[in-house]
Amino acid sequence: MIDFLRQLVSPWVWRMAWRDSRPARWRLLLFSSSIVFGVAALATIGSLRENLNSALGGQAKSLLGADLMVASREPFSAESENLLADFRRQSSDEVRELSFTSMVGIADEVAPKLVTLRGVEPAFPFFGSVVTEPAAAWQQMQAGGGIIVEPAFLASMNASVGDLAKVGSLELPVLGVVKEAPPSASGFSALSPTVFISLEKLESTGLAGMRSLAFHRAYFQLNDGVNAEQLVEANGAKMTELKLTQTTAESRSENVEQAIDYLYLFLNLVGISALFLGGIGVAGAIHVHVSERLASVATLRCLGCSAARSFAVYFVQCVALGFIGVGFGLLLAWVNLLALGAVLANYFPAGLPFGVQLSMDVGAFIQGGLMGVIVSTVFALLPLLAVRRVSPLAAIRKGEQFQSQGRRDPLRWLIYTLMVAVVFFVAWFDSRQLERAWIIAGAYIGFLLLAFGVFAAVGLLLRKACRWLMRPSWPFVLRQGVAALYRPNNQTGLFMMSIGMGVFFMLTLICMQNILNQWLDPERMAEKPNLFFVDVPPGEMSGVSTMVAEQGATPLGNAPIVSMRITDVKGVGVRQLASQGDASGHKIPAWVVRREFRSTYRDQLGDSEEMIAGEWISSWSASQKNEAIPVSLEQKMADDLGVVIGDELSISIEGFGVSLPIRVANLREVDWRSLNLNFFMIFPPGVLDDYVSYDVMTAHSAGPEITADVQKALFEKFPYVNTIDVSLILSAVQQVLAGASRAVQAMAMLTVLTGALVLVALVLAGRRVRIRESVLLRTMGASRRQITQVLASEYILLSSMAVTAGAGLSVIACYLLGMQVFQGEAFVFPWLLMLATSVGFVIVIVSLGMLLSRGIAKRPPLEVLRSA
Amino acid sequence: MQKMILKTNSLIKEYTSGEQRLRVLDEVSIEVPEGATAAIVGPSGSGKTTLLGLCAGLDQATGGDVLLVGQELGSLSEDQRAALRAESVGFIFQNFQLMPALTALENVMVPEELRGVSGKETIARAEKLLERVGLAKRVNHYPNQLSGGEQQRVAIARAFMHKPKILFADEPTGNLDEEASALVEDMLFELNQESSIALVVVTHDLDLAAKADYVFRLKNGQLVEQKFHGEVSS
Repeated sequence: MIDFLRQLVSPWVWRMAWRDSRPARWRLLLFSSSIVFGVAALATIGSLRENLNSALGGQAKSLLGADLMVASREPFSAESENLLADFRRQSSDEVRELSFTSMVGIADEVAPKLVTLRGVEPAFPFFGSVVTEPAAAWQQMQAGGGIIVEPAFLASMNASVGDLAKVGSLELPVLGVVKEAPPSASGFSALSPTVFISLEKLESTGLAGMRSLAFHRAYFQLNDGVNAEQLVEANGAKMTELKLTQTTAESRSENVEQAIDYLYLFLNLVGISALFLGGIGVAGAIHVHVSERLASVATLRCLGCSAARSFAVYFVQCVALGFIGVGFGLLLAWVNLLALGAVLANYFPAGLPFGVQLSMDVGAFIQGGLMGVIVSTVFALLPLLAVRRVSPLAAIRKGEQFQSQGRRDPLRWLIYTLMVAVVFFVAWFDSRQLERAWIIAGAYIGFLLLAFGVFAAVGLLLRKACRWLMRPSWPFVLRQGVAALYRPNNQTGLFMMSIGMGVFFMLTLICMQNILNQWLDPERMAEKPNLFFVDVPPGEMSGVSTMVAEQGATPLGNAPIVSMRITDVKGVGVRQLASQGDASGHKIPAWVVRREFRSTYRDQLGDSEEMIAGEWISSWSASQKNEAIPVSLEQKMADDLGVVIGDELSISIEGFGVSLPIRVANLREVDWRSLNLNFFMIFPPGVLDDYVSYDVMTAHSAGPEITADVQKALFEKFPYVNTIDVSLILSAVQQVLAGASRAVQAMAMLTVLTGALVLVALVLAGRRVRIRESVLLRTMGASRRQITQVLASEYILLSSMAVTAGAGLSVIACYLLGMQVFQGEAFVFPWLLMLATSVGFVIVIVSLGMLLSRGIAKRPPLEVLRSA
Repeated sequence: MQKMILKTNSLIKEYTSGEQRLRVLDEVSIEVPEGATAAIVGPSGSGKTTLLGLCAGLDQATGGDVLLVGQELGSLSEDQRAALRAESVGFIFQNFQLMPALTALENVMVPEELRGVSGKETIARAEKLLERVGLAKRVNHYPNQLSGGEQQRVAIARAFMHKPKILFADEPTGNLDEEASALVEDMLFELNQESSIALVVVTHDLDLAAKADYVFRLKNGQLVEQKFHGEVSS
């Protein structure tokens, strides 16, 4: 080892490495290109993350618009107001916000739409900016002059600035559109457009009093020296007791950074896969290069060159190749960032959100580059070991090339271990900021080992099967093509890995998108509710139902909603159970304490639920005062609460000041993903009738025209009833999914391109052997057509087996995903799509192989035999 | 008394194939004095190349000793044997074994460079040697641009480049036509005379063997005949 390190600084070693590379430089450059896309992906993604984080890091407060936000699902109580007053004393300013979903209509000919109405006070936001068009619209809105909407919403309503919008009982002008929106605290706003209105105006619309999905928020700009995190920590218990949630600028920033980290991790793992695949390509190419150099090594060894010295010559070549590949990779990353910047500039002409500047990040580039050099070097070491084992005797005796069998070489296993360790370390290094980084890295390496293991095993099986199955009766060209798969120094295994991995990535993504789109497809909901009517006052349910039916939709069901909280479980308060647990130490989750449960009563089970224990109670009346009401509990919730059949709990009915004892009568398994009305707790009819807050109704609409008619009619007569069009939400999710899958597919494409490059490198590396074989065949009288057919049969067999292996793994992965998503429900597996894509891959690979082998059949035999 | 540059004592080489042991060299003892020429002859499979490999330290004997340039090869490690070759041994191969990526000049310079010697003097010496073998105008040509005879002449120049004490040649004319063979043979013996470098040649060519001071004939791995200055001693 010391001798080897000493040789690395020997000028002769470098000089010899340079000279020896002369006839193969272009080919070696091509080999090094295997890692280009992997390095480019890592450097690009790393730079994007750093760009985003540095932009967000400087504007943490802009993400929230304040130092601290306190939120409640109900109007702040007197006790809550006392706490907020305490915060106000430590602040320079405070603003309030009320937001909820509601129907808003603008033009008569277009149906009103469900929007998130955000009523804010003038000073909001304290940090960050709001840009509107026209610029004065925000101030006018704050003065109560109208509303501001999103440009897309205005376009979808076929309306323009200045038109009158109907918001509850008011008609307000659209003052402008937001170009750069203030921070949003609502998750639902991602699926529905946001409409801004002054808080004062919102309260006068008549909508505020009857909202089931309202959020009350208070924003604080704290005095200098007051730390939001410390303030929250000091008042944490009190806020939990008052059912208040809080967000600080720091925690919001951390959440966003964590989301970016997760996205980065996922994309980066795809990038590492491309690099890993590139590493295998490098290993394959170096194997061929070294095989062609063994005679020279033997001569050098005869002339007195030590094993360490000759090994150093080729090691230096490999490291240099790694650096060249990395150089091109980093150049590509730089071009990527420039191109991405140009593309995004079209979408954000006024600049990217949060002032994100797309630029090369030196740290990310160094990290990507280092990974590239390390991976290519470690992967090149495996074939390089052969150089160490070349016997000088090989110079005088053909076939006497190795001093020992490669498989027995202990260094070989050391390098395998090193490869796994390098990939594990790289995966861990990238995920180290996340929890369970070790597990993520372990799972990743497990996936890679499994995938490559499968491809290697298929390659081995193919070689064995070819040898076993081939019969002398087969046509000559087919026999030659099949024999090429298991000849010495064949590349079958490497082909399997490079093609199989790329095919697996692409097919899995294509298939997953297809399955998820099926699940989100509104047509799948033909027999299911696709319209939800929320906040229907209890006395108006029949009127709403009649109107819905009159407009052509089919009412499917309704449920009266009673808002309640669980106060104690088996005689112990939920706060105590959440903080200290019960006698056995079992703690209930904190969300149980905070949650306002919306329960219902009915006499039978719904379609999407199944009773798994206990007895269904369809009617009940108390035989004595304070007798516990039998209720049906959702099974997972019962597990969280630690209750079984017969256990008793207490609930308080919100808004009525009533406390009731309940008893677990049965447990249900609920399919939450179904679009039916599902509940954690279901009561028997007759006990909650007096406490109903509002009703929810579901209906099925056969098409968008009927939905629009229903929305218009309801909006006219019942403006406070919210209509949730599930088809629209599904479309929005599909759009988000399509956008996300485009990004992921772009990354997967890098893996495919790497696979293609490895393929090109392998075909070119094997070109010399193929030329020699074809010349021998031609010398014996084979025609060019026969040579071409031999090559074609080899490539068809190789590519179809590799694509089948990749597609097979992909089918398993996607089928498991489909089963998970559809939970036993029938779904159409996209066999045809998979088959067509797989055939497409085979055609492309065979064409590529034949294109790169062009000219092999034309080489004059004499020229080749002479040079051999 | 003449000093021996190469001496083998009861040299044995066996190969194991499965449970079979194959003895390809059976107690062969030869001696070659400094500056002398020797030929190893015999039919195919008689152990000529094996003997050459063992004598040059390219392989290790199963039994017996090899004394090369005063060093007992059995006691040296592979790297020490390589160092000995770099310092004192030259080679000429049947298939020339020029490095295809190097020019004729660079090929000739390799042995000196391996010893850490380079620079203008080395280049000048390599050019002189190439001129000596009649390739002054081909110094910058690559092996595939040279004929077989020319390649072997480059190999001869390379073999003499670092002034070894002994030169091993394995069928040096085996791949050449008659004219080229004669040229290479003459060149080998002339250079041997000029520089007093011992020469050990493995050959089928009895004419070539006849020019050597010593002739060792092998058959079935055994030394069956030794000749010295034309006299036969069994």
